[in-house]
Amino acid sequence: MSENETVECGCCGGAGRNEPDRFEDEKRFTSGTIDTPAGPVPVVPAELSRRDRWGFWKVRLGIFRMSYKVRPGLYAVGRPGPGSPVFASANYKASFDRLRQGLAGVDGWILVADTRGINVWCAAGKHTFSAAAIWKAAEEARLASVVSGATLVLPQLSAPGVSARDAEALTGLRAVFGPVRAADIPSFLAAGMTATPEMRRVTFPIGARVALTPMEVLPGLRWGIPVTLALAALGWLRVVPFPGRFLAGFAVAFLAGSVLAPVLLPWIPGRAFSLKGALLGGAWGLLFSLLRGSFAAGTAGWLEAGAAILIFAATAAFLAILFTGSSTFTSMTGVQREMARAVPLMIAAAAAGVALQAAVWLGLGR
Amino acid sequence: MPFQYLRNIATLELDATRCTGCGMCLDVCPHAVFRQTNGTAEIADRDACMECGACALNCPAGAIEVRPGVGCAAALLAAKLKKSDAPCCGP
Repeated sequence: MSENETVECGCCGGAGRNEPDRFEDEKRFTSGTIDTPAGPVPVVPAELSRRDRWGFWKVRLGIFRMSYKVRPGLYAVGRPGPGSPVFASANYKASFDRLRQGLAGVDGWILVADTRGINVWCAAGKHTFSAAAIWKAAEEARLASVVSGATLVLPQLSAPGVSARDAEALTGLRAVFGPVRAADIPSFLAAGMTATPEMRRVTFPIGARVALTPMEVLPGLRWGIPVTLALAALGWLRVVPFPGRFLAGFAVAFLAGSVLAPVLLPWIPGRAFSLKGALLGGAWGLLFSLLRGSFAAGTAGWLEAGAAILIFAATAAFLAILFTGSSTFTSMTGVQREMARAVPLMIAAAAAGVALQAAVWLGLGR
Repeated sequence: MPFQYLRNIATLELDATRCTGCGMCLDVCPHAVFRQTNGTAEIADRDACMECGACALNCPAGAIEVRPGVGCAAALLAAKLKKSDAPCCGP
């Protein structure tokens, strides 16, 4: 499972449904309550159930990912007391579950802020996850009556939205940034709430990249499958010739940009994502043309090969640039620069490819 | 192997004269952009900056400026198509 789901946000563009009262059923992930001066506080185990694990799969596959929320408030892990650390969390259940997994063997409190079901990183970037949001959750949970002299541990990835100084001023607790990965929390605590440089760095290992690819592919299938079926129907009705082989090649180009480019990301030449995609798509176009025998089919064949290479390169480049939003290291200024240069090139390449193919259909080169 | 995006592009600025040496920028940066030398922060790897804004928000001395935003082509495209100014990443 990806360690970086609190960093990437593979859902850009969606309006998101924030149904105010639809929270995951607490009975399914709490194991009782403990009494506090603020009343009973639900206890959550540090081990995830099968249902919790299925939840991670669901959001990776895009099933109800925009509504996977935990009720904001205070939760307990282990047997915390008034001096136990308070771990701030977003109310996206995947964030919450990742946090409690990291708290195995720890006695602590989890303060869940209302981030409208959005993960730590994205909510912080939008300033939805902020010192004010944490304070609001603390007030509503009457945290001040539960802890005294405790430390508020903020997820490091909340830093774009949470000022530790503001959190301290508002809550009256000492606030520190914990490690990027919840799994490092026990070591962080054992070292006296100190993080090693490795704990503070975000990486982008192949497992994380692979876990993101379903959300690069599945949205495309939503229009890809109906369009292909429509063309197939029109072909069967003999209204248009069904471009079966081309569609198959196009589908592979789509996968080259949406799956292969992300997975092979660091090993493909070029810094720009669109360039990486173009290289893969163009190479596939070349291979496709070789397999189709285009280069042995006279001028028309060469024109068709050119069309395939250009269209597949443009397709894979476009899908690869969409992966910037799911990556952990692209800046907005960088993506703006890349788009300004790449989008005209992709459009021109696709147009040129279509023109070449149209020319062949119109009889050129025969 | 650290991932490298485009070069010479980050809008990150550090005013070392304001730096108090608290080290918050080192604590919050997910890509080790900063280092501390003789009690003052400096930019060690500008190209690693993803403009998340964590450092600027958490610097108590206001010594850091950066233009934060989402490094997401889909968000930028959606904003362009809707003709809005702010690239949006959902709710």
